[in-house]
Amino acid sequence: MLNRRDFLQFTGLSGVALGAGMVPFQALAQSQNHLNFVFVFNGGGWDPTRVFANCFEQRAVDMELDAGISQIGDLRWVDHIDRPSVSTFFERYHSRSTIFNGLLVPSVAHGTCRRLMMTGTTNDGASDWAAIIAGESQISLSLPQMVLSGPSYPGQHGTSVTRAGTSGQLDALLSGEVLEWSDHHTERPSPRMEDRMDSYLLRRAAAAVQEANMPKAKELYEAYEASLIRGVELKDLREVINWSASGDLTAQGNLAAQILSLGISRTIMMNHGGVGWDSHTNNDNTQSQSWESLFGGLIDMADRFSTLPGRGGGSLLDETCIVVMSEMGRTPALNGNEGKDHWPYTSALVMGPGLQGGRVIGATDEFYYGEKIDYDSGEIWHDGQDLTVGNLGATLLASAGVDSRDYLPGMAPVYGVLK
Amino acid sequence: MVVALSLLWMGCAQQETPPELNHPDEAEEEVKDMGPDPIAQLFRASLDLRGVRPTMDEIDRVDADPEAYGDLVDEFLDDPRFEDRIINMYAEVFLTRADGYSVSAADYGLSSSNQFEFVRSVGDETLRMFAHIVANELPLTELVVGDWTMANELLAEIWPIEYPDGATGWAVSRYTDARPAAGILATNSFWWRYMSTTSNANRGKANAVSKILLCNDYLSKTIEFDRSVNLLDEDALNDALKTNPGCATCHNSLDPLASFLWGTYYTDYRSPSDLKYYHPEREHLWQSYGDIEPAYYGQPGEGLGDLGQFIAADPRFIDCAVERVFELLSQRDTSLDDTARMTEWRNDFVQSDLNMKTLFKSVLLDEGYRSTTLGDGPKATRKMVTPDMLGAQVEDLTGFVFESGGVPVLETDSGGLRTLAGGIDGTNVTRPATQPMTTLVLVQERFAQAAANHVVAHDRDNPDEARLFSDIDFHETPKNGEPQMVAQIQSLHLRLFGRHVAADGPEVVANLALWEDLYEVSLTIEDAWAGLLTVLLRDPDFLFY
Repeated sequence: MLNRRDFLQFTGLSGVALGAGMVPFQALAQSQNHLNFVFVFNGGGWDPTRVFANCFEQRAVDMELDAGISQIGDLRWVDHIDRPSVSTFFERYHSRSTIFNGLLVPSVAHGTCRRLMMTGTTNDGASDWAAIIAGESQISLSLPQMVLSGPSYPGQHGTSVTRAGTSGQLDALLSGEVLEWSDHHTERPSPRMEDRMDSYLLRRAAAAVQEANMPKAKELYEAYEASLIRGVELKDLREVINWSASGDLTAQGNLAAQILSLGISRTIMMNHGGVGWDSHTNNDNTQSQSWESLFGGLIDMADRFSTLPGRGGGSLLDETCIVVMSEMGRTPALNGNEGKDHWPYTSALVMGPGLQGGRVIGATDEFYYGEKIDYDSGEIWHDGQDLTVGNLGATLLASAGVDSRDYLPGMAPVYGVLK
Repeated sequence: MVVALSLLWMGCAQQETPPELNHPDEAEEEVKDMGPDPIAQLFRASLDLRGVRPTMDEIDRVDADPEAYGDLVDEFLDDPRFEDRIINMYAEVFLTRADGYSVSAADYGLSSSNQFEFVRSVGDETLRMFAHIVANELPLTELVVGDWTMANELLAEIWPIEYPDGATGWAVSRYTDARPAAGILATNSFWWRYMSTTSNANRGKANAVSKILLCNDYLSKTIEFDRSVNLLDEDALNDALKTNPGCATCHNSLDPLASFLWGTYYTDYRSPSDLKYYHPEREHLWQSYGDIEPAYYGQPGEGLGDLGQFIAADPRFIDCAVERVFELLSQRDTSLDDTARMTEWRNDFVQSDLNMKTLFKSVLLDEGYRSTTLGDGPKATRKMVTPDMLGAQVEDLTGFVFESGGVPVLETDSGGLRTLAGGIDGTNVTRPATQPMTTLVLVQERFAQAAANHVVAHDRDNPDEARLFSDIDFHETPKNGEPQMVAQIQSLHLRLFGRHVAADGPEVVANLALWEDLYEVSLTIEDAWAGLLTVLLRDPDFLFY
């Protein structure tokens, strides 16, 4: 009898399924092509002038009167007594951090900006950066991209993307506990029964792939087979991982650390809502609280990653790029409700081994428009070109070893920031 | 004999793919240019229009006469499940089915246990109106000019709605707050989903109208920000929106469209009382926010009533309806290759007085929809079921409905499995999955297990009302009832996949071997059948059609 473990071994697709203690992907993170990525999305539209964008010299921008500037090396940020975690973070991780300022997101509508910020285009069939990097992975992974929370645009890479659900759904599916949710309670089959059924289906799926001749049908059967294999692998991991992370950034970071340490994912997506970023009223109070909780969570995540071993001799942090972004920026001036409305220039923080840390790329001018830059050097250059979300995406793809031209034709990476 | 064949097959399995698991009939269908397979067409039409697989009787009819397809399409269009299917299909277009709004059930004095019913009722008002128009063959223009809406008891309780005496469930109703006759443009459902701020001045809402009803999405175009315009100067900005070519391209038509919508503007989006009414007293707020008069692409007007009439008379409204039906049924975007037949469908649609059933029928009878292989024209490709179809076909076959606390788990993400099964949530996920992913396959597995156990128990206890297991009485084993078991497996393949499999064919041999394998572990006949059915319900062809 060929059981599912035999099948996985037989097909060479096992690895993590055989035990979490093993190191199935020794090659992982041996080069930049195998960096992990964690995307922290801050849905609602943050106000970069409270942390990233030093605009004290710009009359058009309403800065906080009691805020100041802090600097280590070339990295400068806005410091405020209500946001101590920001300085703690940069003091600890400045050399790994790159700030992108004056980043153009050519829209001011949440949905469109969200899509632009994550895919570089308004095409609703496009894959986001995380899905592309996961889908382009050269290694067979159980969960190429894990979406713990937040938006996700899988596009053509849908098979690579797995959602955890908002309240432990993935855990319940893997364990079979979901059957207990049903108003018509039913017992799950015994593990031995389930093994035999899985084995049968794995063979059936392989046969279906082999038989399919039309491209679309073949594509569907292949996606089914890959998903089935991943599901079987994940069931074997259910005793190792508790997928029910809360919405708290620290908890999500801990789960991400566990997933990446096991080598079963390449990209992780998570959302940080703070107390609400969309501050059309009472901007300073809500933004300040959200920034503080964001950086508190980032410190926890980076600290955790730095204590875990990576695959290549360093720490997990050495092999992971953490991308922190929001879909848009906010107007430079406060409105009549002490709020700020939507603005097409924003900032992003990238903390990753593929990029030169300790740098600020881009800037904003007196009207809080983005300055043009030279892509080759990453320096401000008035005769240069706009720094757009597409350039950011191309840079991330390049740092992941993905040819960005395949997905973002005409969008150059910021070569000057790549290592 | 079965045991011997099964052992022989298992012995080969580690060397190469066991041929018994292949489905050569299907492969041949795709390789040879043999024209549309009538049974495959039947399955496609039934799933698209009703969300379920055809009955044995319907399969027999097409087996006997492939031309019966046309009559069956008519019957499917008149099936009550077509209305449900329309609702689920168009949820992807209207995106009104959210898991939450800015107010909750508790804000209206309802129990928190009504929260799912609350959000579902709110989200479905728009969809039910559309589905009612389609199912009752009303002109599609009713969608934007109708003086009625659809409501259930819950909406009638919380909103100013006149609900018919003695009615139950969803029924044609009317708002009592003197809102204009403008179909979905005058529904709370639509505007709870699409809200605006004064600084946005209804532009986002106007774009939703344009995108959904005219297939013209302003936001699909990225904005060229002109650095010569000082965005911080309100007067300069408003002037630029009207005169700067980079801005005016969109804003010259979008902003006047937005000015129609001030009666649906909420001053406090967390106020239950503000949200339940239409506000005629705000219709002229456009004078305070931008001072752009309402106009529909150059034609001046006033209020939602005029807007609805303008849209109803716009040829793009018809083009968009045709394009949507095609894209929803084909699960792909339109291309230039589709132009000729879309023109034909459009003509038929117009001649039918914008009867959506006529439009659906045109597409369903089109060669490009029916054939995967014939000729040089556009061909149908395999598609994947959506979560509502997965749930509907499981229920239809087995009687099993997966609800948790009375909430269908495939219809929510709050403790449910909707997006994990490839569905949309109306906000973060706005396109259904078109390829399997891990969580979908896991959802399919758990559904299959529960449904298989359910139907086996049902059919064992109610043999006269058996849903699937009518060829056995759950006493047979290969030693004492192999012919009945073989007949049962053949029936299952026909009902589930539309395949006539031979009694000694590879599918039957493999399934019998699996049955014995499972019986060896479970030691009960019922569990072995439940296991076998689980595997069939988890088959890739239960997802693809």
